[in-house]
Amino acid sequence: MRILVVEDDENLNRQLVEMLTEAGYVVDKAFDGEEGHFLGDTEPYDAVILDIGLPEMDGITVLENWRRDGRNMPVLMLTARDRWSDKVAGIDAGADDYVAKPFHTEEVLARLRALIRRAAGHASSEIVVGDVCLDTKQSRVTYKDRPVKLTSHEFRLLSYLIHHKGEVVSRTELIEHLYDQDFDKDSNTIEVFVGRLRKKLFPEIIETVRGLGYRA
Amino acid sequence: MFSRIFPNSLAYRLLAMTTIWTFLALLGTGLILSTVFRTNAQRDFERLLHAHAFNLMGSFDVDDAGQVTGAPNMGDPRFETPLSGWYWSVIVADKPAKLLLHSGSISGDVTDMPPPVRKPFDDRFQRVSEVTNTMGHRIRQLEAQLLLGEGDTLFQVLVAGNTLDIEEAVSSFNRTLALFFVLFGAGTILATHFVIRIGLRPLAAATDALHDVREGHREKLDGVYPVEIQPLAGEINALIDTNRSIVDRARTQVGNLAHALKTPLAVIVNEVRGSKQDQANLIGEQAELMKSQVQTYLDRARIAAQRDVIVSRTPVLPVLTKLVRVMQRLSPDVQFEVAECDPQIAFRGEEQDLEEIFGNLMENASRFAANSVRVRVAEQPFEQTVAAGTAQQMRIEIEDDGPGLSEDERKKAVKRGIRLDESQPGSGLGLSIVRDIATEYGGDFKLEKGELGGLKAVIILPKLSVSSNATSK
Repeated sequence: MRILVVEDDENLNRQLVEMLTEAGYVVDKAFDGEEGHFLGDTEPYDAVILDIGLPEMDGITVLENWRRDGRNMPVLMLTARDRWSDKVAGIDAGADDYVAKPFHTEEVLARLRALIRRAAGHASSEIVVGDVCLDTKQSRVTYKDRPVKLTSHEFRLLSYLIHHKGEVVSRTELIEHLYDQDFDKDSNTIEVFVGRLRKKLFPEIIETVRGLGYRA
Repeated sequence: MFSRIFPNSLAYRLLAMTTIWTFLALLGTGLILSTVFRTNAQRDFERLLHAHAFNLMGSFDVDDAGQVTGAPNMGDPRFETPLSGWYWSVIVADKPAKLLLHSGSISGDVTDMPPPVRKPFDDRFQRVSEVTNTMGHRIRQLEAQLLLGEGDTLFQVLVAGNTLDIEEAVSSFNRTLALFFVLFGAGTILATHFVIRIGLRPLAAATDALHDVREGHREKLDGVYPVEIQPLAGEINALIDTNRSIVDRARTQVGNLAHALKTPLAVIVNEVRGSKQDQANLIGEQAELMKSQVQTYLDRARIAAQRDVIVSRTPVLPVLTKLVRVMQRLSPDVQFEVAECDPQIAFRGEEQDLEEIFGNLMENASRFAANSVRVRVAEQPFEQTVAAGTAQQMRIEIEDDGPGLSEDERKKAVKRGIRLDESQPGSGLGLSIVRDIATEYGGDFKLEKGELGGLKAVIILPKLSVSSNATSK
């Protein structure tokens, strides 16, 4: 899962990036509205954390521009102005949820997970594919109710496929969403991790659609 | 002194001054007119007496034998009526007891003719005197002397008239004058009253407009006023604008302060979180305390900023609709239902405060709701109003179908910063902000057991409606 963090305060930006990376997300960061807008406009993100008060271009304008251009990734708004009128303005501009400052990063993470899950069309925090269950709240995978040990790369890959269950996900899409920009797109890492996941779980959990990609 | 005599009312002062002036002017005019009329009546009376006297003197003569001849006819029936107070007579000057000729009103024993006056004649051989006759009337008499006949006998004629006629004419004139002046005075005062009312109407209109501004029916004094009042209206509008801009500036600065403090606080809180060091823990605790204090005082400042400010009028339904739309987006799994809300009902206060109330309570309800949140806004029955004399109130109910709270928990829940469920996100400040806003507006906030099985929040707030707006105008 690839997340964009747009926050002008360097320390808060760093904390959010650290927290998200630790939670297994691939994170891009921006420190002002223009940079954030450009990244959100050109890169495929699974979610964006967007501060409202930003230099160069404020968060509301950034969000309005994205929505106008058809960019519909879930956006979690960060706001220090916690009056409802400010929240209404954010939601009306196209935000999907908000977190008022000051916050604990755990709260941001919880909201972000819920947003990603909801955006993929899942109501519950547990997504089930056959005998495999992904608990998005706890970042855990169980197979026939027994926990399965996965590395962070394996978890990210499985989580993305399960979030998009039933859909064919191309190799390029997986690379874009699971790795940062300087990742070597020609490497066969994806194939390696799909193979390892198939070994840990039943092989049929990830189906290869020849010439197109993979499907959970 | 002036204000003690005249109460503090322009209309009363103008009316009182006009009444006093009208009374004095009419009284003076009446006295002058009456005096002039009396003088004229007396002069005419005098002329009449002279005319009669000359007529009398020309209508008798003395013959060669020294006898008085002629039968004077004055042509006035009053001279022929006994006791009328009108007489004439002719005597020889040195024989006053013998009336040579006399009017019909002096006949036999029945006469009220007064005794003659001892007074010298003037250089025209005339004298005028006034005496009281036996009837008690003032009689004005003119006597004149003339020489007639061969022997130059000195004759004396007397013509007398009753001044009662003058008095009657003057009284009649005074009565007519008084009646006219009373009607004229009353008319003048009435007309003045209307003139004052019409003249002061723009002032009353300005007062009404100002009342409307305070009630929140309008934003400023926007009518057209006469040149005398227009500067005042302009100044009041400028004052309203200044007031608003001060409040707006204060709000903006409060918001800026919030923004400036909250980001570094978030950084500190997150940086020390999870650290095992005692110092880090201490910093974390203190930062949490600062966070809560900043929030508390920012909220207080925000609400206090609205006290004493001209009250605005916020229609409830649009605000509710907006927040339901937002809540539906934030919690797509929960169904939000507006069970009742009269489109005419309006909150007597700031839109932002109503947003805070709806936003915080609906957000709380959505966190605990199983499936649905129901909102109801209705007029509060008069007998259930919270503070005495505040008839115009509305009742907002927001309830969910979640697990609800026990009575003890409900009491605890409204205290600032208390969070009953730490597993749910939020600062725990929502309910106490709602309570503070409700208190600030003289309303009430309480938690009850809801009909859907969950928690029901009830808020009483001052209201305005289209109908009350119309009656207050």
